[in-house]
Amino acid sequence: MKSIKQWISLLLVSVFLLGALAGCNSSDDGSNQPSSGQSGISQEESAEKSTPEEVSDPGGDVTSFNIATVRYTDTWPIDFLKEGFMKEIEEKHGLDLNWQVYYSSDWSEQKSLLLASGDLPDAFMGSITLNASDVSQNKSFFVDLTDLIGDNMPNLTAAFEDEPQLKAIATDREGKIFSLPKKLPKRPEVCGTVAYINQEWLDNLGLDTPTTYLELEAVLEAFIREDADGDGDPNNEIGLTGSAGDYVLSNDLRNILRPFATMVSRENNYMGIDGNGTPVFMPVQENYKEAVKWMRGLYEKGIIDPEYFTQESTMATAKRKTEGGSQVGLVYGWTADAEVSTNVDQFALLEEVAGPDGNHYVENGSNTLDISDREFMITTNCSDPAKLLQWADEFYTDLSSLQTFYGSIPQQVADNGDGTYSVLKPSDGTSLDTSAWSNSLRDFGPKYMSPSFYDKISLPEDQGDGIKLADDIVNAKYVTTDKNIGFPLVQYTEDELGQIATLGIDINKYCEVQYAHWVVNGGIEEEWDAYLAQLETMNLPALVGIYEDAYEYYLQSMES
Amino acid sequence: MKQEKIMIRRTRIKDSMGDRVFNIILYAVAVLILLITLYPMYFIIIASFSNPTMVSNGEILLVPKGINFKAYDQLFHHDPLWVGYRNTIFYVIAGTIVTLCVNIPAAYALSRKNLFGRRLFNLFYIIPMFFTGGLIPTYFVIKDFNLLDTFWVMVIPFSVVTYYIIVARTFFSNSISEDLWEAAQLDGCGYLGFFFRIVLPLSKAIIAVIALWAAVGQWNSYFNALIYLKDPALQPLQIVLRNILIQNKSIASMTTGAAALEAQQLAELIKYAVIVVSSLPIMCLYPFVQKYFNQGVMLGSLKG
Repeated sequence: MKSIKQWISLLLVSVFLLGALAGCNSSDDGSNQPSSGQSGISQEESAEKSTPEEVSDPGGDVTSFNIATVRYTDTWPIDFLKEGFMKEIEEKHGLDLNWQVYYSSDWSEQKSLLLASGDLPDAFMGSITLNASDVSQNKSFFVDLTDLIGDNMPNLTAAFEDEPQLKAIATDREGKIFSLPKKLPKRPEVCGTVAYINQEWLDNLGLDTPTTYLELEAVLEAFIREDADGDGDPNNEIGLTGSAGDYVLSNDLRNILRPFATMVSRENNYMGIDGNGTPVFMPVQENYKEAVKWMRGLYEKGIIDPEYFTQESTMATAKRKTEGGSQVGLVYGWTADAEVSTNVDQFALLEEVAGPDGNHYVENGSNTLDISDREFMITTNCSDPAKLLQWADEFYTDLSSLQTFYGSIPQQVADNGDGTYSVLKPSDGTSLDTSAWSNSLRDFGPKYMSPSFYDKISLPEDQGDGIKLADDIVNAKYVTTDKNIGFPLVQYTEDELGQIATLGIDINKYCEVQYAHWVVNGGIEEEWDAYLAQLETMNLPALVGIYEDAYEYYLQSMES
Repeated sequence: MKQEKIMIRRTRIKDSMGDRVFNIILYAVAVLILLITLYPMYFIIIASFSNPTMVSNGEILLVPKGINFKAYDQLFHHDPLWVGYRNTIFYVIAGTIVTLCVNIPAAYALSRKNLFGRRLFNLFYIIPMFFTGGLIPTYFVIKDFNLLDTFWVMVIPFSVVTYYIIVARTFFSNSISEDLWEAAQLDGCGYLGFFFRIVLPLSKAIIAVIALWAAVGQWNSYFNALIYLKDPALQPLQIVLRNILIQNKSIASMTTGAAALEAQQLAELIKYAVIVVSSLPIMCLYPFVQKYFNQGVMLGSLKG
């Protein structure tokens, strides 16, 4: 009895010790290992079976690289990284890529660990991986690509000539390039949110589609005063809803308030470019004051949801999507179906209403949404940056941008044989957008397609991007590139990034709190001067100075 | 007997107005606390099979509305969840066994007064309880042991828990007396025999308690997996859960277009069902171990 128990326990202990040792065995001699993604045990086996020479050089000149990338959600599969187009170019360049996929909700912890420990992959893919300050604070970790691009990247060099903005965005303040840029292809001209009005309610009340901001106000007021949805209760309609979040003001400036020329950057730094082409901090402008007064009026009349600044986003979404008819009269979004789901038939695209100055302002966020840097960065761990760059250069052709944006040919995109291509409708009933995210790098990764190629691609018209492009025609005529657009993505020095972080957070927060206060309680007229003085003491001029300098540099590098 | 009956009757009579009020308040407070604790669980259960739009509209408080089992239907087709489930069960089983194998003998050894260098060993265990190495050094240690991205990183590196050792040590030194050892020795028992044949059978309570702590700890742990595991095939349930609950919620604000919406809708639909499915097993386990739980902790705390 005694000995049996002893033997069992000894056995157990030895099993665990063995297991632990198996974990210790994955010999790792750097980049020449064919695949380090396998578990320790199987590597041990393969090491036993083959001689060391074979392990270090199995296929002649295959080079192995670890590339880290981040995805929004694991709902979307990642098999495409090893299939179709991605596999093609990997084989073409004789590489063996080991993708380390992280997810955005976990990434901030994992990123700081990677950067602090220096346990880096060979490259990072996608602007979602590292932000500007990650790169500028850790420049010693990254390979300076400035000189390598000319020798190894003919496609990118051509793209730089084609689109100077690409080069401007990738070049840092010392004139060096540490990361590769992208420009998304075939994007709408009204690159941003558009307004959708509840057409069913308009018809029920016999109202005309509003064409100015005052008419819009009148229509929304009618919605909430009368029984617009026809259920017998005149009090269950909401004009416009929203939710408490970090960027309520930033979103409002781009949406409901934009007839007042308040367009700001999607970077949520409250910077816009005014009619004269100068960068301005929007929440201190006169037109901002007028806009807030108007918003206060909407709130007083009950057009704005009383829970606008307090509820959670799921509550606001639920009000828009209520089954059997939306409770909301006006929504802003990329496409209507994304905002109101099954109630999409109730809503009609609203041609942008005229503002107080008679202009129609629409969001043209192309300079933040479509173009960005930090799409591909090579770390100093990489044994052969030139080889990796040659591979990355493949991404900058028309056909590869098509395939890294929608999916591979022939699975997701059909080659029509005459130089044109059709993006196929997903067969599994999901939206085209989901299919694109599941089968390509989509918004991330290096990309450039020459605009002449756009017309050769046809999209299904009843699907995400197709709807957006069809809707685009209505408002595209109002897009002006030099007037009242958001601040572009520009390069800052490390010092400036630090200042933006310290000054910007407090200033932005203060503006956001004041905005909510003025909309709910009023009093902007009396408190305006004190507000400006307070911002002055919070060192707003220094913050704006940083943005102005960076913008100046951006313009210069675009010209050169 | 008679004496007892009289006592009971006496206390009944003695139940004054003040006592009664006190009792009523006590019960009221207890019921209130019970309701406050139970309601969130109840809400999650009814929300899991109610219409998700009605849930976010705040229409569901006590009675489920728009009853449907779409969420559970979806859940059965969500593969990562089941991979996570399987992994977590393995981690719990392996982790609990390793934790017990490591901590119980250590605690027993430390409880013996004649252990050589006992104070030193105690100190050796207690110092890391207050000062840990920090995340980055730990990461390097685990990396250099080649445990990164393996099954064992979830089981071995964090198996020694000083707190468990202290609780078990107190238990052993109080309930396993030196006399017992002498008696066993007289009957021809060696050190190992004493430990396996006498100490362990007498310590079922503390073993059950530590097993429960270890199992619950493993079941709920996500941080180690977050830091040390990259392979999706090794992810535990809590990471999958976190992905569903946090990840899909935040993407809608980051991208434009329908994909974010679809991912978010899936998350909204299944989030309550996921919580139910993932916490059910550990909740079922609890009542069975609970009797040891009270017993064990009390025993450990007695001096004497």
